[in-house]
Amino acid sequence: MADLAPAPVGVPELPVGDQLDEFGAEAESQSRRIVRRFVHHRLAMASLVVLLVLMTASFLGETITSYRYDELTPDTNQPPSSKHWFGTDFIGHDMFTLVLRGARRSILVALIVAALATSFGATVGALAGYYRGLLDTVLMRVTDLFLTIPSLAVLLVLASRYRGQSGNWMAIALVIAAFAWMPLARVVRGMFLSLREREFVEAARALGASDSRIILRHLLPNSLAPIIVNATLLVAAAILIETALSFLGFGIAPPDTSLGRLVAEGSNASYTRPWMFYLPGLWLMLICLCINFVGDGLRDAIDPRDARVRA
Amino acid sequence: MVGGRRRKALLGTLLAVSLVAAACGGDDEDEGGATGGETEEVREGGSIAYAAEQEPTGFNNLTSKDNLLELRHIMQHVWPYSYRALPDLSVEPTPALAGEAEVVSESPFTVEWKIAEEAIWDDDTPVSSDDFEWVWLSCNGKIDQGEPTAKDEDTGQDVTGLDCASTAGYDVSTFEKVDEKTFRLAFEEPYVEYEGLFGDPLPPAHLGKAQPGGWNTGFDASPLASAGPYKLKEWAKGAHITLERNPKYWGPEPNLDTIVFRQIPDPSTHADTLRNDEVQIIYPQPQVDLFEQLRTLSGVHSEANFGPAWEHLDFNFKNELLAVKEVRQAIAYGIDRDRYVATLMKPFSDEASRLDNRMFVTNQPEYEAHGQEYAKRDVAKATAALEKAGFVKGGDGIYAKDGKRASFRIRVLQPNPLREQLEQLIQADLKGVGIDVRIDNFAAPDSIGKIGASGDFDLFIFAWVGTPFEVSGGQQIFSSDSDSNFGKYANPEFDAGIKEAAAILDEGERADKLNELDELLWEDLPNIPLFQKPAGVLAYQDRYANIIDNTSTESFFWNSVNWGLKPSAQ
Amino acid sequence: MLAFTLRRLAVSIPVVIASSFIVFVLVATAGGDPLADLRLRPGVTEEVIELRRQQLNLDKPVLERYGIWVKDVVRGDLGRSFTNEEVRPLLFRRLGVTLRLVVFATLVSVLLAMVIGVVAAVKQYSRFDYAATFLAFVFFSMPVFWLAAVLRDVGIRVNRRLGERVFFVAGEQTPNLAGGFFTVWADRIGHLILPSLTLVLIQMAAWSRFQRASMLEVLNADYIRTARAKGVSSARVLFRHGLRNALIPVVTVVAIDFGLVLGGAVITETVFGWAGMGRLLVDALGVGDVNVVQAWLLVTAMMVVVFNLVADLLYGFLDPRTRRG
Repeated sequence: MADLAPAPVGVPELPVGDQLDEFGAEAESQSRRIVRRFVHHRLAMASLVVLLVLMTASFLGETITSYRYDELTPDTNQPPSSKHWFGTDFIGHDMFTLVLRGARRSILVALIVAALATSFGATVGALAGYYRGLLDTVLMRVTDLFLTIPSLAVLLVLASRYRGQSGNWMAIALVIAAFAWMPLARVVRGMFLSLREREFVEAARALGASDSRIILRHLLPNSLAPIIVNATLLVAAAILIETALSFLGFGIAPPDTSLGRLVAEGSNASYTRPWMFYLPGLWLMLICLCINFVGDGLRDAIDPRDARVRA
Repeated sequence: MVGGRRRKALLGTLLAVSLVAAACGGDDEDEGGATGGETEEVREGGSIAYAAEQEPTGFNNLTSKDNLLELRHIMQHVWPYSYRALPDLSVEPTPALAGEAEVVSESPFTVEWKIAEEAIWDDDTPVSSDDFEWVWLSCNGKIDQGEPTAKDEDTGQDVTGLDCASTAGYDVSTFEKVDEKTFRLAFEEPYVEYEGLFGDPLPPAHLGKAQPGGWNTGFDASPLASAGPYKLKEWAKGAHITLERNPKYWGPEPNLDTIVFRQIPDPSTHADTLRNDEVQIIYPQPQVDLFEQLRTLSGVHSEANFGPAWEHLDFNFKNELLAVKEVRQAIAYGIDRDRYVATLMKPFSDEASRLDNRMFVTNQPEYEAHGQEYAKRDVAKATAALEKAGFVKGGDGIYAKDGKRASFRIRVLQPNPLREQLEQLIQADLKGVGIDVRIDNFAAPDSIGKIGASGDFDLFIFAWVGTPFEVSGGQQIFSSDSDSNFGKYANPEFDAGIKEAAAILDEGERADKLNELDELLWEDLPNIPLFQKPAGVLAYQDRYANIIDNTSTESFFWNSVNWGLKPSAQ
Repeated sequence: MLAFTLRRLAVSIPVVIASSFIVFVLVATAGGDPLADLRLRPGVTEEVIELRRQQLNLDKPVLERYGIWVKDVVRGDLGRSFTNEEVRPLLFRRLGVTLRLVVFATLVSVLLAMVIGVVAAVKQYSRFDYAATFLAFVFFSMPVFWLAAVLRDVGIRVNRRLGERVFFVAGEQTPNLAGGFFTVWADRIGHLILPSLTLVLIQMAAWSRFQRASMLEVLNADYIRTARAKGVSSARVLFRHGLRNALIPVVTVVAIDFGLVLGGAVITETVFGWAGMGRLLVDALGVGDVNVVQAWLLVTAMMVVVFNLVADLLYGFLDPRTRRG
C-alpha cells in the first residue's frame, strides 16, 4: 500500500526508559513536563494554532461564507474574487463553501478512523502483551492475518461495495480503520511485554492490585507516548488514504464531498481552472502538514531521548 | 446501445450515423464520396500512435467476450466487412464488396451480396462466401443445448455454444451460397436494415475453423490472416498492438507504414501523453477542462463533434407516482433543458442545442422538433399539472397526494462528471416546482444494464447511441416486450406502430411514420430527451494530415489509409 | 534461530490460507455482475449468457467455487480471468513491471533516507536538519497523485525547454524502438525517472525521519557516551559503534513496507500508465474477477509473509526479549 498511505502509521519505537516509576505517582508531573516541552517546541505550537484555525473554519463552514454548499449561483466557472474567495465550479457552487464542507467531512472521517483504530489496536496490544501465552498467540495471529491480507486489496474490495452510494462516509471510515490498527497493536504489545517485567508492577501485584487496575492505572499511562503520537499521525494518514480512494473512484460519494474528492475532481482542471485543483489541494496539505508537525512535536515532547544531551 | 464509461462496440445493424459539427469542406452534391472531402498531399511512410484505453482480450470482435470499441478500431484495418458509415450521413460498401447489396426478391425478402473479385486474405486464399457463411452460422442464435439445429458442413461442427455478441438479423434469415463470391440471405419478413449486416470485421473461416478454439477463442492470440490495408505486426501485452502494411491488400494503399495502439488505461493522462508526443492522436471522453487544455496546446489540433449519442431522463413506470402522466408532465415542465445545454454543452460547440425527438438527432434531415410545449421551463404549468392530478403542496414545499410525497431517486453511473452536474441542476430546478429529487448514484461493478434491468431507480439518466436504423432503435427502447425498455413503458399503439414502420421500405415514408410515433411518445412521456453530446474529443499532432472525425462506430479511423505526414513535417 | 524461523513460517501458512478464503468470499459476493454488459446487448440469447455463467462457475455456491479454486491452485493452475486470459502469465508479467519500478525506487529511497537521516541526526538542529525535516513533512502530507501530476507536468515543460525528450510519461518504453542496447536502455531509464521519483520522494520522506530518530537514539545511548568520555574520537564513535546499530531498524521498517509496496504502487502506475500489479487489482475488482484477485492476493501475501519474517528476524536481533513472545 506504498502510495496509499505514505506515512508509516506506527513507528516502532523502543520502550521508554526513564520516566517510569512506581505507582504512577510521578505520572502527573510528567504530563506537565510534556506539555511544557511541547509548548516550547515552536514549530509544533505554530502548527497547532494554524490547525485549530483551519478546523474551526471548516466546522463553522456555511456560517462564515454566505452560501450554502448546494446552492447553485449564477456565476459559473469564476476564478477567485471578492465575491467567491475560492472561485466557483462548473455549475455555480461556491468553492470556498465546498472546500470547508469537504474538509469537515475529511476531518470527521479521519478522526473516527484514528479513534477506532487506536482504541482497537491499543486494546489488542495491551491484552497480548500483558497476558502473553495463548491469548497473545491468538491475538498476534489475528494481527498477522490482517497484516498479511494486502490491505490494499481488501480496502478496495470493501470500498467498492459502497462505491457511489450516498452517505457512505461512515462505511469508508470503518473500512480504513479496519486496516490501520495493526502497527499500533504490535507496538503496544512490545511495550507491555517489557513494562510488565518492571519492579513496580511486581510491587503492585504484591499489594493485591487486580489485572485491570495494573493495566489501566500503571501500564497504559506509561505507554501513552506511542499511542498518542500514532493516533495523531493516523489522522493525517487517514485523510490521505481517503484522498487516494477518491482518486481511484472509491471514496466518499455525492452529495457528500470530501477534500480528497474535490482535489481528485479538480485534477483535470489544473491548467484551465487551477483554483479548482490547487486551492483544495493546498487546504488539504496544510491540514495534514500541521497534524504531522503536531504529532512530531508531541513525540519530541514525550520522549526526550531524541534531544541530544550536550555532554 | 449503452452509454456510460465503457465503450462497447455496436455491432452489425448498429452502424451509427455521425454528425460533424465542424464542416470538412465537402459540398452536399458530390457526397457519398469515400474521402468525404479533398485529401492533402502527404509523404509516404511514417507511423502514428494512438492512446487506447482498453486492451483487447482477443481479436474476434463478433464474440461477446472480445467485443470492444477499441478492438473494432483495430480490426477494421485488418479484416473485411460489408458497409461503413461516413462522416456525413451516408453508408457505403467497403472495398471488400463489389458494389451495393441488392434486394433480388421481395417475397421472400432476399438480399444478395457480391464480394470483390480481388479480395484475398494475405495467405492468398480468396475472401469468399464461406467467410460470411461462418458469421451467419455462428450468429444465427439457433443454439439449443444438446440439440443443434445448424451444423457446419465442412467440419461437421455444431454451433451449440458459440459466443456471438449479437444475432440481430441473422436469426430471422437463411443463408444461401450462390458461388464463391456471391451469397444471399432470405428473410421471413422484410428486413430493411440489411446494410448493417456483416458490418463488423469478420474472421478468416478457413483458418479459424482449423484453429483450436474455433470461433470463440481461436483468435485470442492473433487475427491469423489479414484482408485489409494493415496486418498485425506485434502484440506486446499490456503495452501496445502494432499494425504494419499488408502488401496483399487490393484496395487503396495506405501512406503510413505502421499504426500503434498504445495501452494507456487512464484517460486523464492522455492529454499529457499527447503533449509529450508519446502518442500522436487521442480520443478521450468529452470533458470541458480537457477540451480547453487541448485547445491551448501548440502543434495540436482538437475538435469535439456532436455524435448520435443523446442523453435522456427516464421514468420508471413501476413507481406509482411516476405512472401518473401529470407527474411526468410536471417534471417535463420543471426542467430547463436550454440552461443545461448552455452550461454543459456549449463549451464544446456553439451548435449545441436541446433535443426534441427520440428517433432522429438534430442534424439528420428527418429531424423534427416535437413536444414544443415542454421546450421552456414553466413553473406555473408544472404546478398546475400536479394540482390537476390531485397533489397538494406540503409545508416543506413538496407536493404530496394521499400522504405520498413527490420525492424521487435519481441515479447515474459514476464516475461521470457531466451527468453528476446535470443531476444537481435538475435537482435544483425540480425543487423549484415542488418536487423533491434525491441523488443516489452507483458505480462499477454495477452497470447501467444491471440497474436498468432490475428497475432499481425512479429517475435515470444515461445515453443511447442513435443509428441510421431507427426502427430497431425505437423498438429496442420503447417496445413493451423489450429488455432494454427499463422503465417498462407499455403502449400497444406504439408496439403496433413500430412494427408497421419496420415493414416500410421507402425511407421517406418510414421517417414520417417514425416522426408520428415520436409525437405519440411526447404524449406519453416515457422519457425526456435532453441533448446530444459529443462522442469524444479528437486531438492530434497537426503534422499529420487528412485526419477527419467520424462519430459513428467507424470512428476517425475510417479513412486512415489517407493519413500521412505533411511534407513540411520533420 | 532456525527453529524460530520455521515456527514463524509454519504459523504463517494457515494465515495465508485464511486470508485467501476471506478475500475470495468478499470478492465473489461483492455484488458485481460480470455478465451485465452481455445482458444489455441486443440479440444476445439466454443460451449464450447461460453458457458464460457456467464457464465462469458463477452458477455454483461460493464455497464450492472456493474449493474448485484451491484444487486448481494446488496443481499450480491459477485459472483464467473473465477475459479468458491465463492468470499465471498475466500475473507474473504485471509483477515484473511493478518490480522493475519498485525495486529501483526502493533502493534509491533507502540510500537517500539513510544518508539524509544520519546527517540530520548528527547535525541535529542545524539548517540541514530543519530543511530535511520540513521537506520530509511536506512530501508525506501530499496526496500521491498530486505529486505525480505535478512531476508529470514539470517533466513535460523541461522537455520543451531542452528541446529533447528526456522525461517520458507513459509506459515503460517506447513501442517498436529501433536501436541498439544503449538506445533501448536510455529509453527505459527515461520512462523510469518520473514514476520512481514520485515514489522516492514520498518513501524517502518517511524513512529518513525514522532513520534520524533511530540515529539519535544511538547517539544518545550510554555506550556511545561512554566511548566518548573515554576519549574515542567522534568519527570513530559514529562509524564503529553507532552507525551499524542505527541502520538496522530502518531496514526493518523498509522490509515491512516493501512487502506492502508490492501490492502495487497503484496510483503511480495509473498516472504514468505502467501496466503493473496495482492496476491489475483495481481493474479486476471493478468486475469482480475472482481468479485474478485471488492469484494477486496469493503472490502478495507470500511476499508480505517473507518480508515480515525478515523484519521480525532483524527485530529479534535487536531485542532478544521479544523472541520469547
